[in-house]
Amino acid sequence: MKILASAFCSCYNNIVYNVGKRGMRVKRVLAAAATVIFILSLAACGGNGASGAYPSRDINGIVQWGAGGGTDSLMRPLASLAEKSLGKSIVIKNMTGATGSIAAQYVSDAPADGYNLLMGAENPALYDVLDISALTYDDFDCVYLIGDETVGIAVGKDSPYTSFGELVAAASAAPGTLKISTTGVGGLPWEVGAFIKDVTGAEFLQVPYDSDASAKMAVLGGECDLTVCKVQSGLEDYRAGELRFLCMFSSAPVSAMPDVAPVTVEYPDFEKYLPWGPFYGVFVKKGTDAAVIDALSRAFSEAGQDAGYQDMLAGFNVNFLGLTGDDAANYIASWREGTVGALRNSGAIS
Amino acid sequence: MPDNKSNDTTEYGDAGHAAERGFALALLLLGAAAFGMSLELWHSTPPPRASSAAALPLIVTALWTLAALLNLVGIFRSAWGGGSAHFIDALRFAIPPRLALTLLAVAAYCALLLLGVSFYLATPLFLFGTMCFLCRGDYVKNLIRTAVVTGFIVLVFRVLFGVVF
Amino acid sequence: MGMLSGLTAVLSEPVLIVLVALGTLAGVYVGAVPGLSGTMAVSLLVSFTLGWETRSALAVMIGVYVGAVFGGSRPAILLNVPGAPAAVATSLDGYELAKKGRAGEAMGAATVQSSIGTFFGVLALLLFAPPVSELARSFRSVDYLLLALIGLLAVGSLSGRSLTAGVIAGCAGIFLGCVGVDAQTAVRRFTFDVVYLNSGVDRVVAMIGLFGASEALFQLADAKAAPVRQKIDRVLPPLGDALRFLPLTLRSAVIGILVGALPGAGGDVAALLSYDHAKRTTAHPAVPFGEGALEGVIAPETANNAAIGGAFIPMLTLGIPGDAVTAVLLSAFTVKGLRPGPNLIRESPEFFGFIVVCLLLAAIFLPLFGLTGVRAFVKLTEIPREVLMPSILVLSAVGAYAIRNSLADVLWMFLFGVAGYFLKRFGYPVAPAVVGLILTRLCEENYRRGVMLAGSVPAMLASVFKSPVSVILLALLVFLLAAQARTRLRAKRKDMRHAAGQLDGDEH
Repeated sequence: MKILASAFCSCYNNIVYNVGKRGMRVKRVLAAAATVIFILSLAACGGNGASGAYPSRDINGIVQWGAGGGTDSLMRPLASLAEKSLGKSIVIKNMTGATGSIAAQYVSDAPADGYNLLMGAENPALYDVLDISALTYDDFDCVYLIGDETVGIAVGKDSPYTSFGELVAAASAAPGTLKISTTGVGGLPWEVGAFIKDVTGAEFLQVPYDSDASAKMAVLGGECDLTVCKVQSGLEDYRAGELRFLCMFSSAPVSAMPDVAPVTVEYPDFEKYLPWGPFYGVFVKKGTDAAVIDALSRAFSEAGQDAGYQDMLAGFNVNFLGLTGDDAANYIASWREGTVGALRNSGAIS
Repeated sequence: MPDNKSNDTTEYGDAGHAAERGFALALLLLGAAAFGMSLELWHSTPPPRASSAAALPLIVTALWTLAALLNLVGIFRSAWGGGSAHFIDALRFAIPPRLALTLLAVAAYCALLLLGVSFYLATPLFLFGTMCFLCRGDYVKNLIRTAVVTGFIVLVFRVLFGVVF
Repeated sequence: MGMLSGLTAVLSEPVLIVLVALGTLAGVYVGAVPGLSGTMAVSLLVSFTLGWETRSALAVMIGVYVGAVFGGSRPAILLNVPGAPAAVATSLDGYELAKKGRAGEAMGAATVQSSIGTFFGVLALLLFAPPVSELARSFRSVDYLLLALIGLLAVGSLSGRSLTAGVIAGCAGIFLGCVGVDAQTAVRRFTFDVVYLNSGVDRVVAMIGLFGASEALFQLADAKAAPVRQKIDRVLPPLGDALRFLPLTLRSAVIGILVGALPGAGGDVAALLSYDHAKRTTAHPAVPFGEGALEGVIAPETANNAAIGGAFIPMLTLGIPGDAVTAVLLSAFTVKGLRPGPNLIRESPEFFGFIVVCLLLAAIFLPLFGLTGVRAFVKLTEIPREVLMPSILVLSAVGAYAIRNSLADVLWMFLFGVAGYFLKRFGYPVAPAVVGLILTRLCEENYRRGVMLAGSVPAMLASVFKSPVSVILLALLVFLLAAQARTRLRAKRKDMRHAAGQLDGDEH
């Protein structure tokens, strides 16, 4: 409808302009007046006048990470499915930067009316301890927790290490010589590095890269000795024999990589932190009306159950959870407790 | 001394040279300030420092300050070094009156947006205002032009790309 | 062979050809609006084509990608406002050509060269994917650092007569690139506790401000300026021209392919490097560089489109994106059930073939759509300044806002605009600042990683000699530095002799 209106406006203005050129004064004034009225009406309909049942207008889905990334790839299909039950569009925006805190800040600054959704990964749970932002997931209500991923320790195909135990032994013998490629402070490999230090005492030299893909490249190319890789990122390289997974950071083997032993086989002490992995969810600002949260949770749950979406999740090797309400809140709380505990014990944070 | 062709059409004159000296000085001061900030950062980072977050800023701001100093010296040393002029004249060279008013309009536009005035109102106002001022008259034509430009922006950015204003 | 089935797929379903055409057309116009990028358009398409069949979705997206990379050159030439960082180098000489009334020629050259560049990129993808991907894989942090330094030498090229002015601008650009939360250590640098500065200065914002807004302000300041009448009778470059520039085209394409294939660098770096290269290797341009040399448009436009083919190489052979758009495409693959990675070509060769064919089609459609809009676009520049410049200011503001929905970006953009205006007013070069901003990440991250990996700066320098690629890059860097120093010294000596009235005839 709006497209037609704008097209009409442009055509109309073209006609008006030509009329103007022929110098018919009165008509020009009338045309100008009509144009002004048009602009004002556009402003009126462009403005956000919310009234009526939720949702009464389009919803913004603010994705914390970049287009094409892991979070973005999960959120876009989910949003298009959820749109159907909500009846209004969910417009996806990527607001990257500062480990996703820019997006979190934006949603937190906006009113708690359910028209701005934060679509994020696990990073906001650690913002306060990492001094990235004063916000954490405590300031948001989880509308839908999609799922989490399992990660594993990966080395290049030419690496001399054949098991996680050997790696730990080598690292303990010479701390700081083995290089782990990370995605910076607060990223996945950094977090797992803290767990490893807490349980095994092994310490690696952390070399930061700007993305999962670059960190993986570093190991493939031999610049670094190991990295922590999500199943999704490393599966194809594993199948091609380029990357070797020494262990999975879980208590049970992963169906996509059944030959890789869980870390608990060699180090049962990890059990207290498992299951653990990066998770993805949709959030709203705390204080949003319960009815609104309910409507969103129902819409997203329905979307998440869609067979096509489930297939896609399986393709991404994401463990589907589909939690809402208190279940989701508890999941996040226990995730945070475990992670912060390990970070403190390993000295990664004070 | 800077000598890029894009400036061939303007004559410098005394005011121009004074303004140029002022600008070169400003660049030096900015460079020194940036260097100061980088130094502060350098001192507050724990070793190893060569690979820290302060390394590149330090190198780069040092280069900046050095280049700005050489630049300033070069300007003073050249034939343009002489001749002084009133501060106002130099300012007028740097910011001609037409531009000054345009900058004020830009500042007003930004202020309006910051205060929360709707984009759909502030933009046409800015467009109409600047066009009328620059064209001196032609109010009707400007109104039409404002409508066309605003319409185009709305069509492409809001409708097609869903940018929320 | 599996790849050929990709070709037959397209022929058996002509709808796909139409989709590529539509995508290319859309891409050309999207790329022409500063603030709207190919990456944005392709990510929107991912959502839009979720229900579509995989090949149809890919066809449109590839078309948009190719179109958008070229599209940035149009406003770059006509208005000195690059539509994307990849077109920054094009605006340097392209706009000068437009000022001389030769915009049509420049746009024609840009179109044809973009098409040729895309074609060479596809050729590399088809024939040389394995060795190029091996090279990309073997690139270490030190190598990226050397590449970034070579790129920074372009600051010297872009400085015109005064090196110090260029260094000031370049260093300021790099410094601004350091503002924000440091990606590696999460330390906040120069943010003064302002939250919005945490994510730093966006280089597209800087580009729009330094080129777009500042040019608008600069033109407004000059009350006497009248729009230049453009000659658009000869848009399509004569075949003789195309052949004459073929060696430069080939070299630019190679630069584009190699740089595009590196996951850390994309079309923007490729364009800058090839512009610099063209400047160095063109002994006697018809018009000097910086004043409207056609070579200055040909080289970057070939390189940034060749980088498309280059970016697909690691994406299809390793599952690692060569640039931002291929990153989005990778996710599109996964959403559609394809599994990008080292196994893709082996397991789904028909997709490899299909992508190659789509790229070729886009390369064919590009000149068709690129040349048609020339007259209309040129008419745009003949609008009186008083109307055009405020419109550009508003468009710049909207473009800056569209990047991250942040009003702060708009303010920064205007700040850059004002800074750029002053730089232009006093004859300082503006381009080095954008070069600095573009290259900051590449340079800094790899410098710090290199030092971290080697242990210390001397150790890192020593590690250069451990790999043939690094040695070649270092040799190149030293050679280019020496060459530039020699050119400057020669120019200075010529100046001094000229001043003393002793200019020899054979010094030319």
